[in-house]
Amino acid sequence: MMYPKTIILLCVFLACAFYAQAKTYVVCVGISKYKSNQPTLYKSDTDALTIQNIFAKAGAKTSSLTNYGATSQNIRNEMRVMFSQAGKDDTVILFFSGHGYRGGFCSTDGLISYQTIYEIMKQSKASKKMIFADACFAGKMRKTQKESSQYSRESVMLFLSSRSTEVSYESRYKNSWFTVYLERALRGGADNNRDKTVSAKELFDFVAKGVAQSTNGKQHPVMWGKFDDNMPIIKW
Amino acid sequence: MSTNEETKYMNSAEETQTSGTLNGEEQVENKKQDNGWKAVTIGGVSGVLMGAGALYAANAYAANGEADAPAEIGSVRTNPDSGIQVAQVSDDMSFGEAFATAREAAGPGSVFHWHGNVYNTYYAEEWNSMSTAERNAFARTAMPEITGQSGAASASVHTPNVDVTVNVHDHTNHENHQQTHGNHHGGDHELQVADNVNDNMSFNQAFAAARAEVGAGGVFHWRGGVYNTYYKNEWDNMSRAEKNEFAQQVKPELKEHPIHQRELADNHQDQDHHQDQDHHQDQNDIHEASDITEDGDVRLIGQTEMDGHQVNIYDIDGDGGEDVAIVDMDDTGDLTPPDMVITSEGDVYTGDGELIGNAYETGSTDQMDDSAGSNLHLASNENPEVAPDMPDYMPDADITLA
Repeated sequence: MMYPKTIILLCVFLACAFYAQAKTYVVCVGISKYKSNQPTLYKSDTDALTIQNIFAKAGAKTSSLTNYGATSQNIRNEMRVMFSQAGKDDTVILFFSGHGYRGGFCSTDGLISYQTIYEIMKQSKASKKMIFADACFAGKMRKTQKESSQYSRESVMLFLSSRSTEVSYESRYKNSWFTVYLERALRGGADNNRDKTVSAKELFDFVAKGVAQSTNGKQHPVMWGKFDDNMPIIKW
Repeated sequence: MSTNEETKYMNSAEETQTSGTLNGEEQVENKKQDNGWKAVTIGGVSGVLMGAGALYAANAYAANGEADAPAEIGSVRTNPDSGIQVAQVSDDMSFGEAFATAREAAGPGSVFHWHGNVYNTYYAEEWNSMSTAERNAFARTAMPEITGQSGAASASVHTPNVDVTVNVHDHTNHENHQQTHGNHHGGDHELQVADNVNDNMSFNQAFAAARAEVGAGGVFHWRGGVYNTYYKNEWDNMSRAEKNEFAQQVKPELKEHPIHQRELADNHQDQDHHQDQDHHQDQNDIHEASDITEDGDVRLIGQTEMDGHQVNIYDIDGDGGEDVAIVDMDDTGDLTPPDMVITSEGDVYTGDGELIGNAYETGSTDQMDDSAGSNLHLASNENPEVAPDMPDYMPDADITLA
C-alpha cells in the first residue's frame, strides 16, 4: 500500500513543481508627475499600482516604479533586473501608464524609446513577453503590418491603449480608461467561457469594446504581436 | 482570484459607477497629453492653476478614489492661516460650472478646488489687469490653502500589500525635501543656495526669487532640478574656465539634493543600481537657467533626455509652452550640425538649419488631435510601417523584437 501512495505523492509533487516553474514577472510603471516639462497626469501612478496588485494576487512577482522614481535609468534597470530572472517557460510583462510620444514613452526625467524597450525585452529568456501600455500614440509601438504564418517559439503580445494616431484618455474614476477596463477584464470580467482563465482574445474583446464606448469612439485599444488567441493572460 | 473576490468587486461602488459609463454618458475627462492648466488656458477661462502644490491634492484624489463626503456645494469657508475664502464645488461639475459656482459664492480673489487642483476665481481680464506684485500677493495669500493640501495627501498615500521586490514611488514629501536641502546650507562650499523658492512657484517666480535672494552665481532647487541664477547674458559672457569652476561648485549640491535617491538607497537591494543612479544623476540633473534673458524673451523651460542625449526645450514667445526642442545628438553641449532642432509644428532641422522633415508622420492636423501641442513630438524613432489603418487585433504579425 505504501508504494502506490508514494508514487502518487511523487507525481503530485512533480506536477506542482512543473507548474511552479512557470512564473510571471511584472514591472509596472506609472507616471503622473514629471521632473521634465510634461503636463501633470492624475491617474497613471494609480494605474500602475492597480495592475501590479492584480498580478501580485495572481501569484506573479511584481515591482512598480511611479512618478519621480520612474526615471529612464530606473525603468531600464528594473526591467533588466526583473526580466533576467525569467526562464524559458516564464512570462514577462511590462505595464506602462503615462505620457507617450510617437516613438516611445516619457519617463519622469526624459524619454525612453520603444526600441530600447524591445531590446531589453529581447534579452529575456521568457517565452511569453507582453507589454501593456496606456499612453498616447501607444499604437505606434507596433512594428509592422506584415503578417507571418511561420511558427514562433516566442509569444509576443502588445496590448496598447490607443491607435497610432490617437491620444489616450484619463477617466473621472481612479484609473485611465484603458486601465479601468483592463482591471475589470483581468479580474475575470473578460472570461467569456468562464474557464477561470482570461485569454488574449477575450481580453482584447472586452477592453476594446469598453474603452471605445466610454470615450465615444475617440480611443481604440489595439493588440498586436505573435500569439495564440487562447494564450492565457491571467488565471483569476 | 476567487469567485468571492470577483463578486465583491462587481458589487462595489466603483463598479456601479463604471457600469454607468457604458450607457453613453459623456465622460471624456483628461487626455494624457493635456492637463487642467492647458485646458483652462485654451478655453480662455480665468482659472489659474496655483502650482505644484496641487499635485499633492491630485494624489489624494487618486488615492482615495472618488471624492470623500463633500461640504455643501456653493458654501464658502475661510482658510484660518491666510483668511482667503475657499468656495466648495464638486468634481462632478465641468470646469465652467465649478468656476461659476465658486465665483458666485465667493466673488473674485478666492479659490476653489477642482479635480485635485486649486484655481482662483478671477476672470481673465481681472487677472490680466493685475500687476505682478498684486499677483504675487494673491499667490502668497493662497499658498496656505495649497500647502495645507499637501499634508493631508501625504498622509493618505497608500502602498499595495503585495509581493513587491522593488517599489520606487515618489510620494516625495517636499517639506522633507526642503528640510534636507536646508540642512545642506552653510556647508563646506561657498555656493549660495536660495531658500525662498518652492515648487509651488512657476519657474519665472522661482528664478526671480532665487536671483533676488542670492544674486548671480547661486543655485536653487525647483521641481526636482537644480538651476543656476545667471541671466543668459551673464552666462554667455563667462569663460569656459569660469563655467567649469561654477560647475565644480555645484556638484556637491547635485549629489546631496535628490531625495528620491535617498529613497532608492533605502529600498533597493542592488548596490550597483545605486551607483548607476548616482552616475546618471551627476550627468543629467544639472539644469541651467542661463537661457533666461532679463526681458524674459527666450528661456529654457525644460530639460530631458532621449536615449541618452540631452534635450533642451525652449519657450521663445513667452507663452509658457514649448516652442523648440534641441536634441544634442553628438553630446557636445553646443548646437552643431548633427543636432536636431524640432519646432512645435514638428519641423525638424539639423543644427545648421537644414530642414530635414516633419516629426508628424502625416502632417495632418486632424489626425494630430487638438491637444497634441502640449506634448513632445520627437518622432525620430517612428516606424513608417505602422499605418493608421492597421487592424486593431493582429495576433499573427511578423515580429522580431529589437
